[in-house]
Amino acid sequence: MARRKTKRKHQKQTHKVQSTAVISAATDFTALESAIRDLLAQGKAREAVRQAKEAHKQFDTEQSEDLLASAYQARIKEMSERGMEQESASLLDLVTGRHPRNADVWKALKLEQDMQTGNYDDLVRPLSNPDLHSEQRQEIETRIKQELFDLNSLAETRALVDGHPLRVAAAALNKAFKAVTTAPVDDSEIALPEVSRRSPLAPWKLIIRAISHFYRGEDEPCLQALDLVDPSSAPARLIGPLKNMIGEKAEAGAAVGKLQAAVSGSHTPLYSAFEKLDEAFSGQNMHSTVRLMVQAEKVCKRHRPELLQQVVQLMIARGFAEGFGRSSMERLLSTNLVKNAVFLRLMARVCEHEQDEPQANEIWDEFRRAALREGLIKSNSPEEAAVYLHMGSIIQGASEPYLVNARRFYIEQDGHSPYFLDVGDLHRRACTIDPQPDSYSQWLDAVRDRDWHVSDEAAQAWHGAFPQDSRPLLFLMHACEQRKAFKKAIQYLELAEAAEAMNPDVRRARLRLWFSTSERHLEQKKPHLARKDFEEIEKLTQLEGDRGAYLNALRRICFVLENDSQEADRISDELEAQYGNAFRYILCGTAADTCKLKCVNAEPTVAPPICDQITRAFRLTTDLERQLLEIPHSMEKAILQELQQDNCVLDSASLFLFGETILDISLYFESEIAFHASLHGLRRRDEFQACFMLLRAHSWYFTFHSRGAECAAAAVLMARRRRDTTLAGKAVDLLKSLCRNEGIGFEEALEEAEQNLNHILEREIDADQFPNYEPYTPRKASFEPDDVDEEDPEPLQPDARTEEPPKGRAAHQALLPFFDQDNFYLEEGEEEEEEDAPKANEDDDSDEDDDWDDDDPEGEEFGAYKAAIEQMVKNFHPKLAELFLEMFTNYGDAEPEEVKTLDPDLFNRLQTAITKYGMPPPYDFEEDSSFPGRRNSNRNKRRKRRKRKRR
Amino acid sequence: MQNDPFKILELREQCSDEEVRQAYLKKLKQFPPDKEPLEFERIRDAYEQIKDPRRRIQRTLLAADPRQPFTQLLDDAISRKFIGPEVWLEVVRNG
Repeated sequence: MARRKTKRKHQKQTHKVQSTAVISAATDFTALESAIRDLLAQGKAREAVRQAKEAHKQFDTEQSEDLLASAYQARIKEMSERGMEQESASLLDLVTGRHPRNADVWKALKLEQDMQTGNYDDLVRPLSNPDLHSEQRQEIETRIKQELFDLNSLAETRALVDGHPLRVAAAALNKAFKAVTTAPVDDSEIALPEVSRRSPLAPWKLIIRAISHFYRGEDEPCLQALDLVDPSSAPARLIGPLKNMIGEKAEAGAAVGKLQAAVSGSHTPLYSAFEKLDEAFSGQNMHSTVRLMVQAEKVCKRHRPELLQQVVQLMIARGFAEGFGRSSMERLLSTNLVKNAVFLRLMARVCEHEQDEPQANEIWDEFRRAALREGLIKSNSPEEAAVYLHMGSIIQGASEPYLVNARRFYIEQDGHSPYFLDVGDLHRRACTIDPQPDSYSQWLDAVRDRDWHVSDEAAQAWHGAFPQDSRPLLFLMHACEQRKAFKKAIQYLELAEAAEAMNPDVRRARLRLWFSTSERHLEQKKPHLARKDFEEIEKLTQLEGDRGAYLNALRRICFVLENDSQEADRISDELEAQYGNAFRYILCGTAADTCKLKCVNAEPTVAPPICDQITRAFRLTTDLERQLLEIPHSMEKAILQELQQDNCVLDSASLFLFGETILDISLYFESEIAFHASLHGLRRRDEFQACFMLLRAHSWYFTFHSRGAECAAAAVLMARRRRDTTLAGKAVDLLKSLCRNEGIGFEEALEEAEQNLNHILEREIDADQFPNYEPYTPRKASFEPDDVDEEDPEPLQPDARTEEPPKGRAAHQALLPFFDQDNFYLEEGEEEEEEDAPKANEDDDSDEDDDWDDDDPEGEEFGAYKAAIEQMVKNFHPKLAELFLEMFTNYGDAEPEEVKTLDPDLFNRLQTAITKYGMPPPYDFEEDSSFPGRRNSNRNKRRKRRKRKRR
Repeated sequence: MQNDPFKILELREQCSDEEVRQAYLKKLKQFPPDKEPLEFERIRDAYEQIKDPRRRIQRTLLAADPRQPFTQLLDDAISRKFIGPEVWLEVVRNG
């Protein structure tokens, strides 16, 4: 240490000797001044001061004093730049006193020092002088623009009077800057009308806007605002960092790193830990997932403690979704879980995903209460109503048996059923808090299919809140109409007419209601009352076009009821003469069906052209909302014959309607007719081409799924190009259904069709032959046990075309093994065999739920199943058998509710087909929980019956 | 996040009706239906989802994805963090 001091002293002395030598050598001041200025230029202010002091001592002139002042000036600036603010201020005070001749220099330096410490008093004080010269004013304003960084200091300066525009602008900017960097802001908060475009503080306004856009993620507007900032201004120093953070390359200073780190962060270890955890969750490896959860928690605690709670909440929710125990996870993690509204929301969403609707709603209710407590939402606010509506939509999707069980559970536990399991109650609460037409509409939709008292309550509440809305009135009217309460229905109609007379639904309703009234009277065999109704109908202006024909069809029934066959025939003849015999047949048949009467309806002659008559009849019955009459087989042949000819008289719109309706009423079994209709349409290459492509897709529905999917995808694309959203929606629905059947991705199908659109179109136009029908063959694996002799397989499917199906009672009897669940699994002698079985096995229910092999080692039950199916298939109408087999093949032993959810189209077709082909009473899947494939319920029934027998 | 309507329309979740409308119109200019039909459809769907203030409330209040990747949580947190004015002003002061 002593040696170092000696060395330093020696160096100092050497240096002094050298500089003295320089001074002594420089007898001329000019040379000396030049040497000192060189030192200043090199940034050696300290040495320059020392030499200037020597020079001033030697010469003591004004020039030497100025030189010394320059050296001091440089030294003071250097000290300020190095952060030695106190030292530089002391030195400035010292030299101000010693060298008053250079007062201007010291004053400028003082001002600069003040500016650097955020003291703008001296700078802005002259601005309060109204006589200030414009050049001086401009100079001050330029300095404010270029150097001011502390808005608060300017806003609070005493050098300017209260209310001075500069102070007001600075205060507003200061507030806005604080707001925009602290939390999301509205545009109104940063509008800043106090800051004019000419203000020296205007660049601040622009930078605040840029920061606001930056935080909103609006990068382009942010860059635009940054481009407008004066690059020489002080806030322009933020341009570089902002551009860097957006991803644009820009120059930025040293302080920028800190800003970027603070705003954007750098969390490589945490990111890596999270990536591994995500992978573990995806890989479903429980052991490694648990280990990585603990690890990620530790890393998060170290790097981003403020995120820890959020991370732990997500871990527990996600783990819960993957089947991990919630309490075990809580024990595993060292962080205490905060069960706030955010966490409850995550858990509720998990339950939604798991389709555990009652549990989800219970947690949503907890969320609602927590959110109210935490101030996330306000009581009786639209937000609270939104929670109720959401809960309503969840419970609406739950199956009724499941809800019944859940209600029973809560009643046993709490003594009452909670409100969150009652869809009506939830919607009622939402509508009470926030009465909106949409909310009422959702309420009504939710309870539409329930008991009419419940649905009427929703509609009445809607009507009460919005008396001028015709929708609830129309609903009430329809409900009354369905209950045959026509007088009341007409009362509602009158209210609807008063509210919205021009509404097309309202306009159409009156005619329909009077028709319904007259049909009701005819059904009750009261022709005299029906005649009065006819008089009312004739007065209506809505009785235009072909609608009069329907009135005549009803009149004909009236005559039939009065046994006046001559008049009935006359009307029939008139209809036939005016519209054609196919039209007459469909219309008279529809009218008779609607009145639930059997009137003689002469079979139509089947010579083409009849398609235009049929379409006209379809259009009329659809317009009057009457159920369409099934087309007789003879007429189908004539239609095909007509469509196979080159000239089709129907225009494109009618042809499409015809094809769609035929498919609709024939449950897709008239695919060949739809095929030929679509062929005519596609060849026309007009604006209906997308419609016909959709029709073509429908026609392939049963025969070629993949081709149907291609056509449906093409229809989606063509409809989108024509901006026909309704058609596109229909095509999307069909495509989704076909994709599900084929196991292909929806987007994938669309992409492929996009690439091959022209090819698909041309291929379908060129295909002029409908392919031969191939009976549906079930996959062997689905129905046959492993030990079946493959060389002698029993046919499971008869020839669907040649087999004549039994009808009426015969069909009913044939289907008993299928529908009578008690008999379904039984074969001859089985009961006796079971009787002899040891009693110990009887009550052993523990292994009942196993699969075929465990449950039925000899394949006995499978044999019964197979035999039942064979019997069923043989006696089924081929179309119906095809539907059942499609259901078994695609969905196996899925619950009826599942089939209804997964494939509502198939479900509906199945139900309608059962009704249509003279089967046993329509099989209500909702009511009956036992269903083919639900072995357990059947097994239990069988066991119960055996026990009864023993007793 | 590709289907997040707020991201598609480049909006923040606390936006006003007018902001939603303006963002939609701006996007329509960028992606006209005749030139960019697929993108237009995406934009229109996004607009339909959030144009109604009540549906917007439902989205912002009730939407949460328990199966979202953890990294996304971090992305959201690190991308644009509010840090107050001090560090920003330090850059203005020191350059």
